[in-house]
Amino acid sequence: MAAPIIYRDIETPNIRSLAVYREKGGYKALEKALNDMSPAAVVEEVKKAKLVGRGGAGFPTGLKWELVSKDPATPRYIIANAEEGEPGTFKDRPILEQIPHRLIEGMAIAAYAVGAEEGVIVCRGEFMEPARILREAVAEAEEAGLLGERIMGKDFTFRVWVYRTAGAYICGEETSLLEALEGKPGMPRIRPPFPVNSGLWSKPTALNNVETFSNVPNIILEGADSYSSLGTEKNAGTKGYCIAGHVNKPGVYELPFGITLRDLIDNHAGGILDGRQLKCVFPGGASSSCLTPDNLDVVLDFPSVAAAGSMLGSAALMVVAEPTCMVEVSLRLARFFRHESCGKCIPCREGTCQTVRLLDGIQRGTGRKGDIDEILDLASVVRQSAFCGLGQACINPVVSCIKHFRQEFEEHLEGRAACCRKEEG
Amino acid sequence: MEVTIDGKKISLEGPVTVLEAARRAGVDIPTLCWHPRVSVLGACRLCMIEVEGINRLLAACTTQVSDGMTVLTDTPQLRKVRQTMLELLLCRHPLDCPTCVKGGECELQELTYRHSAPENRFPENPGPYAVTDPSPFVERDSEKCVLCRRCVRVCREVRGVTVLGAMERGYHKRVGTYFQQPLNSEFQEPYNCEFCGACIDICPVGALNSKVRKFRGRTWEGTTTDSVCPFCSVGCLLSLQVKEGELVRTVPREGPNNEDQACFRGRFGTDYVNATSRIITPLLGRNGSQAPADADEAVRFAAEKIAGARRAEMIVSSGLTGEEIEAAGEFAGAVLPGGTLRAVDTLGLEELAGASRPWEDLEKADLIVVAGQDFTIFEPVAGVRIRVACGKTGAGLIVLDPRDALLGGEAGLWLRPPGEGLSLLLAGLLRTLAASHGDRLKAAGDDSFLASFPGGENGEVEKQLGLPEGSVEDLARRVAASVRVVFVGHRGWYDPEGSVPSLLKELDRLLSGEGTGMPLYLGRDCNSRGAAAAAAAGPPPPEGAPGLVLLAGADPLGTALPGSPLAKRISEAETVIVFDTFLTETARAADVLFPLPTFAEKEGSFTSSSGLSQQLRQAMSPPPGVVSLRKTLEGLASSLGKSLSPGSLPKGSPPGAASPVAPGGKLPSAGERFLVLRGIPIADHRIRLVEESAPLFPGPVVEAHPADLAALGLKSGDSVRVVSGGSELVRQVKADLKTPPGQVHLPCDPADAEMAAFVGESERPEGWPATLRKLAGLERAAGESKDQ
Ligand SMILES: Cc1cc2nc3c(=O)[nH]c(=O)nc-3n(C[C@H](O)[C@H](O)[C@H](O)COP(=O)(O)O)c2cc1C
Ligand code: SF4
Ligand code: SF4
Ligand code: SF4
Ligand code: SF4
Ligand code: FES
Repeated sequence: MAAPIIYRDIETPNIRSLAVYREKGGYKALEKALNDMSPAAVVEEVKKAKLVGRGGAGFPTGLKWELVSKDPATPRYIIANAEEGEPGTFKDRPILEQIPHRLIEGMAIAAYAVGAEEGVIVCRGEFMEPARILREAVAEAEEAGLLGERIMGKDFTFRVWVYRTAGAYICGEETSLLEALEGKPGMPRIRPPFPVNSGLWSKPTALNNVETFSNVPNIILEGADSYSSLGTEKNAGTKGYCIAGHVNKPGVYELPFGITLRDLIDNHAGGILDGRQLKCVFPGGASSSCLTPDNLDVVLDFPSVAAAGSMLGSAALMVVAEPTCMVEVSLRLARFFRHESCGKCIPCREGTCQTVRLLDGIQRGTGRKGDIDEILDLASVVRQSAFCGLGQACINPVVSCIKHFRQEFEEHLEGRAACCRKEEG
Repeated sequence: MEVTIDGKKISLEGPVTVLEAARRAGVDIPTLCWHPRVSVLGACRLCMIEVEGINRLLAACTTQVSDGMTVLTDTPQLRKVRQTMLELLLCRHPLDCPTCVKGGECELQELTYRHSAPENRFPENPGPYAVTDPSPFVERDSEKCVLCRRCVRVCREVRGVTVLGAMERGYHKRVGTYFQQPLNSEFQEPYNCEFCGACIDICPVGALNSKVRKFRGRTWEGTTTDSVCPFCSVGCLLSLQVKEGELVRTVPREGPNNEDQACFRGRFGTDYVNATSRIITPLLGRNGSQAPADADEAVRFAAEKIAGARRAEMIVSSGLTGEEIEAAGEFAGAVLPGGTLRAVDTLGLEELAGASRPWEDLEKADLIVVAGQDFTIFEPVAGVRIRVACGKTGAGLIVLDPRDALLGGEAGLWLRPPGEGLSLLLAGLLRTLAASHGDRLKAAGDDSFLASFPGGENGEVEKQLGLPEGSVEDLARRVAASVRVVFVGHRGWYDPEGSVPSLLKELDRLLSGEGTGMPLYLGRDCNSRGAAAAAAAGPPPPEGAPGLVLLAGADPLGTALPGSPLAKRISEAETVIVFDTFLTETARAADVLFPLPTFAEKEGSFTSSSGLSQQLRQAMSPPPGVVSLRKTLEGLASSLGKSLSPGSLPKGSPPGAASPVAPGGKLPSAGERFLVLRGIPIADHRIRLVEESAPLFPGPVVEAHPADLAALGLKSGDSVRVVSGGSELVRQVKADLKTPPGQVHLPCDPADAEMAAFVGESERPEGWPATLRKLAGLERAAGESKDQ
């Protein structure tokens, strides 16, 4: 199935260039918005399309823009979150590298809708090549009068900057991203106030994921009804699913919200690797709880995955087949979060440390009886008290592994596990 | 709004956080990262609460109260969270409590005692950090740090310095400096650590400590006495801890001038009272031949000289208490033949006698205009008040100052009148405003003041000061557009004639439309305002040679500020009698010297820059034989068969006697490369006695902007010749980002007598232009040997 919306025309040679993108109908949506629609009408259309954020939380985008546009403070800003920090997520990079103009067009339409004159694409530190491509695309668009002053002869000014942060997972969290963009250490801010009212330089800011913006040209050009004919009741349109791990055909698949996990794995990702047995799936990246094979028929949209006890997040599906050791999986994820905790608050900074220590002891069989419960006990406190989403969610994968595979943890602790028996010495 | 906290109902006006509301309701929620002086962070999570209807925990310090909220602060779940937070902190914290300097004041101990469990379920594993920082005053012990970032916030938000920051991530996170450099290093220029110690005070644990007080006494030992800082006219209140006759610790306490801040002089400089070099017996004999004498002998000698003198004058320091100056006045009137009383360091301040303006007024202003400043090392607490007021109320800030000394960069408008041009700029502002507000001035009953200023177009002023065209208009427009303007003036290099206080007073009068113009004005010494009210200012009238000069606390020979006429008078006097604590330059020139107690050993009062009189309390006894100035003077009087009597000398100078001075300050004529910027002496002799402070002094150097140095092919450390008028000075040059291009800053180190002479030069050319030249090889060798 050819990508219908986000990655449409991605296979067209040189779609990265402005010329080819325009040949394929690029910037027609911006033209339509500027010529035929009021800013409020654009917001209305996006609301009607039931577009939700693709950065992880699934927040309604139209509502976000409405809040920004109604804040009397100026200037207002548009920010594209191109951090793509969640492990297993690689859906934004193809947009940045191959169809950068779709993102820029989406941002320009957003700017028109909320009354912003400046926008920033904030890339993770490692995105040097994407940042270079983006800068080129921005220059091209400026040259063609699609960015800058009096765009398409209208009373509309919009400029875009490309910025790279220093490359920390936490910088994907919106307020940390803003701090980093303001030149400060990337650590989250107190919310409220939310970025819609107090974002960049404390001004109203529409901050969205790259993929979110890339849906917008389609919504404007084809109309909300056509757009929402795909997807589910709550989540319209398509999603770039990143599937990785033990499958035969890992990759990004643009498919409507509402397909099942089974459908995605079996019919798109080519089934489980080497015909092995599926053990579990982390549906929303490293910070999501794992789902067991009983959940294969869960429908992939934000509310359904949440109802199944996990979260869709950035739709980074990590598939784990037998006979993978779940203690090892937990430990690796825990180490990732210990490394990526920003260190601001006690529960996350110190809690991730202790979790790694406890898991390490379990894996080596040197832990104390009761360490497994100790992890669960600590997790409940960390989840309740951490300052931001990172700390609140980081313990999910470990807790879910213990919940579903407790026996493996006990075997390790008692020194009965064959898989992780380390050489002594 | 009505809220219920742990069953207690209270009503309050918003916006207010749950934490504040709870405190008002008398409910104690534990906190660690929260501190009333800094912004909210929400990092420690000790203050978690439950709110009815919300199924997750919230931090009380970051949650705003809403009407009808029901809050629980003490549930099993919350107790569990608190205990876990403390266990997590403690397992990474070395348990050095028995030897920790913070003992007795440690918040972590207190919180653990109240909220944690007797056994920590996490194994002890403190971080690998060593005690660091070679800087002289602040010890950083990162191992003990609980990462509350109170220090980071106070340094940035209150002190405006931003030396400390949060570094790294996750469990590597720590508080540090750029590139792990010492607190005062080149990396921090131009805003270096000032050793204000605010971070030490605010640190809840022993991660930031005062090196000076380390192991000199536990926090609860000895006696603690509340007093006033003896250094500058901000007038910070201090607590003095004395143990076994030694002042072991000084910390700021809450006061109307300083809130709870102080600076490196007030906190560390007070250590001078312990110096062994102080004078404890009278000394007889001049310059080098001074020898201890017993009190009777010294009194006899002095009495003889007084009895034999035709005329005698008493010169007092503005660092003496009001009571001491009063005693000196009574003595001068009742005992000295033809006696007069004068105070040093009160230039221009007679104008402000009797008036007061509290620092709190800054928080009622919508515009604060700072005229001349250096709030980095000097009077930084004034800078703190201004910064905090602007942060709190959003008031506008205008800074008129050539140097880049913190506040300028924070201001909405920063004009940099070069050299001594400030008064010219203020006169321009006054003239422009008078045109629009003149009627108010008339209504206030006096516009004659304006007539005393030479005419001048704004364009002319701007040209002379090298300011952009329209600056004066712009300044006047901003000032006129504000409803309540507060002026803050600072004595400094820019105002040799002392005209700034009266200019500010007139500006204030013009704008407030009230008869009582009163800026906040920082005089040179801690009691300059009090001294100005009690004594006439400056050098004595020149008629006749002074037979006898008595100096109490004043050290005109040792300070590099204008005072050379005074110095000349001292050298011409037949007899010099000095009352002082240390052997200052002036004390060395004395024929007889009587010891005085330090500020910690006496009672009395200082009148601060706000006009507020504050009480000193005796914290320790002076060494045996050292008595108060009044006692010494009484002894002298009685040996002459007289006694001190109040009212024997007219108090203060008649108001209005000092007519406003026409402002000076001109740009150099074409061809001259630099303007001289005269610095304020960075330290008086008292600070010098605190050995650790040596690295803070610039030493015998001149400073210029790096761009200027580059243009002249110079670099830091090169020897240069500064030539101005008929005098010249050879010194090493130092690149300095605070000094504006086109000017050369002479830091005026009082230990540098040659520079003092150059700076004190009274016959310098108008506007004070100078050239700066690199020394050639041979010359340099000569110049350098001269330096030593
Ligand atoms: C720890 C953490 C990491 C995040 N990382 C990303 C990221 O890499 N990219 C992203 O778009 N959103 C990320 N988010 C979500 C953003 O905070 C934000 O919700 C999102 O960018 C908003 O855009 P949307 O409404 O279009 O989803 C992260 C959130 C958290 C708590
Ligand atoms: S939860 Fe973790 S990432 Fe978030 S603020 Fe706390 S330490 Fe930083
Ligand atoms: S002593 Fe003052 S200036 Fe120095 S780091 Fe501490 S707070 Fe900042
Ligand atoms: S040094 Fe002290 S004040 Fe600063 S973060 Fe650490 S514990 Fe807090
Ligand atoms: S600011 Fe002035 S009064 Fe306050 S501590 Fe420093 S020197 Fe003393
Ligand atoms: S006091 Fe509220 S989080 Fe630290």
